[in-house]
Amino acid sequence: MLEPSPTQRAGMAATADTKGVKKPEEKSRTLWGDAFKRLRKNKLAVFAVIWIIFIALVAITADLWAEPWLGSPTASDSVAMATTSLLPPSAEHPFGTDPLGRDILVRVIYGARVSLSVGIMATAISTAIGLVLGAVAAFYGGIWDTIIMRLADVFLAFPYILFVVAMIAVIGQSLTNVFIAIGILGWPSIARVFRSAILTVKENDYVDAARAMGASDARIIARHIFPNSVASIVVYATMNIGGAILTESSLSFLGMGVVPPTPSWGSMIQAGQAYLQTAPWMMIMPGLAILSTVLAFTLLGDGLRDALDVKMKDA
Amino acid sequence: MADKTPLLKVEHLCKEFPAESGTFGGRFAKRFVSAVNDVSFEIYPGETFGLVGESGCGKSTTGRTIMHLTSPTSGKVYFQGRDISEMSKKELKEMRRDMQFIFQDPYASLNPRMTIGEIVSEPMTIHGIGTKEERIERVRELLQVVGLNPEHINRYPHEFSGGQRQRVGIARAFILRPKLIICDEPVSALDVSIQAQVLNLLKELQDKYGTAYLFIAHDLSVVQHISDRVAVMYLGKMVELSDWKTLYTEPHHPYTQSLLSAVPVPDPDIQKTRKRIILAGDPPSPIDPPSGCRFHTRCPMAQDICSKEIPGFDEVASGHYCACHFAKPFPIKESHINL
Repeated sequence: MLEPSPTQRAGMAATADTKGVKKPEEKSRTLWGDAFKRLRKNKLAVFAVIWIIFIALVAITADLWAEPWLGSPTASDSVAMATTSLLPPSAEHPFGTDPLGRDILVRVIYGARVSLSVGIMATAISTAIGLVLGAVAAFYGGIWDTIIMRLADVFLAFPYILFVVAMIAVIGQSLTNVFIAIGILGWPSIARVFRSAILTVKENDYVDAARAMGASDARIIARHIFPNSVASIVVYATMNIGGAILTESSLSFLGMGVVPPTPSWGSMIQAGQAYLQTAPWMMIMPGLAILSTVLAFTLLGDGLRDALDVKMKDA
Repeated sequence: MADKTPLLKVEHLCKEFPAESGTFGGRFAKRFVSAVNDVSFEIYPGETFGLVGESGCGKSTTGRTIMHLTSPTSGKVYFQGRDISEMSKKELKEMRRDMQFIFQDPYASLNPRMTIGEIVSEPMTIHGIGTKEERIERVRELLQVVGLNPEHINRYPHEFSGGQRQRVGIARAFILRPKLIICDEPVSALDVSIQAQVLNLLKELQDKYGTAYLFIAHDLSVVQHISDRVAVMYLGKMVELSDWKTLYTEPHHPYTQSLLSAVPVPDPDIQKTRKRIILAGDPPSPIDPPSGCRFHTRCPMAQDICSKEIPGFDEVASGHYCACHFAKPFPIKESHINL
């Protein structure tokens, strides 16, 4: 770095008062940049990212090519039923067909829309609620901590799937309500993770150091507590997407998820159950889709956890 | 010293913590840990005030309470003549420009998500001093002063050793040129060879900037190395206070005497023959401190009165205070102390 000349220095001093508080952010390397570098070295995580992006792209662009190529995922006409019912995998129907003559591949592709959107939306809802409640519990402590965490215990004490089913039964069966039900009931674990992360970070001397310097509460939270506790939430939320996808599949399997004929991986497995011996591809294909996607989110979460740990060496 | 006005004045400081956390955060606790009890002292500009005692005696709590990181249960802290507990938020922030803290653990006291440059310049950022360029320049200058490479300004704390990290902490404490720095065992987490380097650095910086130190330690030889005056604490109470020479050669309080006699002497002949005072047992729990003199349960010269009456913190000689019913000088030959 170049040393400023005396005249430059005088100029800076003159502007010092008017400029006020400004962060000195001349970093050669940033936390997220470093984390990204470390993540790139983790082959499994890279593979998981590629897989998630691939599935997302396929699901988003399906209207352009999948339907013209493989037919409608929701069609049910007697001609198709008669001619293409329960065909095994072939060049024409790579994943085979179902009893109504619909292509399984196109249904898996459209099912990815449901699964990914439920995974992301439900996690977004539970993370938003969990972050706020966890932060309030950890910062304010005392009675707030007691109320929020006991409430979390109450939520966790219910059998999760039954709770979601009951909630869907009350608010009605639709994709949006699946988001809401899974999202709202998922907050306690996020709140617990975030609360304990904040409590751990809060105990560190650097928080006291900032306070001793005269830092405001807002600055302590934004610069010291949040950056050191957010990593655990990023990791947990990533893994939670996989969990939400599984929950949606279970719901659809139980017939409480998205309304047929909209394809969902869970409902496809349920439909394939009856044909397990004669047309196993009906269950296997959506099953593999669930497995690979949930696994990808879990592996990505694992990779993120390692990448976000600053104490890990670059080696 | 007495004619100067004190920089920091602590009067009858008490700090109690609830002994049970309970459902309501200990708000309704019935038992309390008496961490600091009726501690009074003064620190003058530019001097080093040593505070020693065994772990759990309340010396760190004293430092944190002065810094207003925890508020005192009772008692007053005056900084430059003003009562800290009556300051507004703004005044408190202003006061913190002049009073800084160096922490014991160099691993926990630096935010791992910030670069060295950000950490050292943070006090300037908080108080809105200087432009970005000026701050960077000041940080580089100070890194040089504390013996670190200014080129490392963009590195993260985990890339440094314990001693280097402590130097970063020292640079941070000095960047605003404060009048008082509370050093909470700044060297006890470091290797002995590094300890000496850091102590020498603290001394150099004091000579350069005229900063006063409240130096908290559990190691008498460390405190002796740096202090002008030394106070000894036992179970939340100050038992003796004097200039270090008097305290080390003529301790009045039996606790101080036993501490000094525990410091090993490098000469084996002296070590064999010198009189040692060995204290029996552990310090009692501060939840229910002993009645009367808190030291009477372990004191070799305790009598009936000691368990009944709390001894006053009386001046036994000029500038020499001692809290003991039977305070009397106990001369230690200089050759018998490893100083």
